[in-house]
Amino acid sequence: MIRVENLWYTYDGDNYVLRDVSLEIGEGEIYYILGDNGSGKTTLIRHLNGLLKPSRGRVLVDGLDTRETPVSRLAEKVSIVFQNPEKMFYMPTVIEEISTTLRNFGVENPDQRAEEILREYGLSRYRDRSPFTLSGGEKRILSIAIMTGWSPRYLVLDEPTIGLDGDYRRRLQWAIDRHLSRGGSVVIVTHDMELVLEREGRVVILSDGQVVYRGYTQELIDLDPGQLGRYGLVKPTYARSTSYMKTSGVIKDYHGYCGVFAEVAGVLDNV
Amino acid sequence: MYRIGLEAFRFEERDAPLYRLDPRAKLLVAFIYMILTILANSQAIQLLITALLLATLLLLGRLGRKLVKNLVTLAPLMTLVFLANYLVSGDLMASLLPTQKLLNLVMSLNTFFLTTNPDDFAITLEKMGMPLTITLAFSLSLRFIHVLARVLTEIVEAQLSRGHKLDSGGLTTRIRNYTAILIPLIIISVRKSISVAETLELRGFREGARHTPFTTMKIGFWDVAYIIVSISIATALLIYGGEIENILLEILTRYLEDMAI
Repeated sequence: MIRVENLWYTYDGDNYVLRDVSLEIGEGEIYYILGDNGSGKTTLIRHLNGLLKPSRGRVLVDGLDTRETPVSRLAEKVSIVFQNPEKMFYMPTVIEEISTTLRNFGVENPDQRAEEILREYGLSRYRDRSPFTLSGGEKRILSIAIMTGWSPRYLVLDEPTIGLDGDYRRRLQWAIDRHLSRGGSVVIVTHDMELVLEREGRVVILSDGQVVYRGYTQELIDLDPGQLGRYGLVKPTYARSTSYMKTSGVIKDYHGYCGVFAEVAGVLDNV
Repeated sequence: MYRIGLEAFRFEERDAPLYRLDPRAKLLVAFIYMILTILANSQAIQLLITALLLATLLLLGRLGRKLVKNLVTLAPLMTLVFLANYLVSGDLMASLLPTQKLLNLVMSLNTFFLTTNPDDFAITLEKMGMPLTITLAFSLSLRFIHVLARVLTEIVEAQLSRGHKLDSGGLTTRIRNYTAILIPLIIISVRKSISVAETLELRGFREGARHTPFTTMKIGFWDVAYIIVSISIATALLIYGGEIENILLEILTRYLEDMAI
């Protein structure tokens, strides 16, 4: 479990970008961190593997205090995939990029495992290409492939859907589902409400460095679009229709939008 | 450590008298202090210059915290200069002089670069008759430091997150470790510079075209006062340096004698 306890953080010693943030990320759960630009989302996740140390409060990863534990040890447990994948690439080929990271974490048979990862993520045809020559979507999928290779317990994705088209979006979904099915936890920082509403999970909304909303994805459906808009979030059209269907009694509850369609189909069947 | 180093030499807007002065006045005074530093070969005078520059940066610039970062960053180089001189000359006091000169040269430049917006710096150069292409390249380079600092931080964090150990192993291993930082940094920098060039073209930038700067500069009362005071101090130090040194040494000797009694 990751416990963030009364976390305060300042870069310059004067202005706090995180103010009294507390949250708990349990095992096997999906946790969404939402909020507008500059609300402190990325600063918060940089605390999860010890890249930043709290100015006040503390962060515990499976009982390890991030202030006292080296990043290399925390990174084994908490894998963060940052927004710009290019910043992590430095090897001449895609396969070496994956195997180097596996070696860093002491994975057995890194070369063989790297080949498997390439196949799993559908990147085999790019095996010997420079990662810098891949398209935006391919780079993002490669970065996720790299950062899940050693099976970390917590996978943190910073704005994972930016620049992803249909096929790569499906591969991202597959990677999230697989990580969850193996008992890992996923933390997603995003503005993409469609991604948020695809799975049931816990949500916090940050604004100006503070937690202004806590709840579950299903409850976001009932939130006023104006309220979400204040935090830089846009409610998708189907979520607005779902909200309407719920208040008018067509459907009883929200269980992901696939569930909604199934329920509507059931209602229409009865009609 | 690398973060402190990058922040130490970065311009940040602040409400302080030194920031409000005309960049031309600040540049002139910075040069006066630099010339004075180079010419003065006495430790006492160098100490006085340090005190004057400290007073300027702290009182007029309110740059206390920044100055500490500056000195922390500069400390290894100053130590190296001191040790190299000491190894060659074997004289402790004589080795101190080049170290003091280095410190004063950096602090002189700080009175200008830490307190002047890169855009104002470009206009200053233009007013001094430099062609637009050169002044633009100069101001873009200065602004790029800030961008590169951010990119560098993000690259280091991305590498640490994937288990890359930067400070482990012997010297050669450590140098090799840093290729993981340098390769993405170079590639991203080149890409960014290409995109800046393309943006300039898209915005109609042409070599030799006339343009009007958004801000204009005017030398005011405080700028003149700043220049006159600085020139007076510099002249006094150059002419009466010997006497001032003797007085300072006398005070120091008396103080030491009193302490001994």
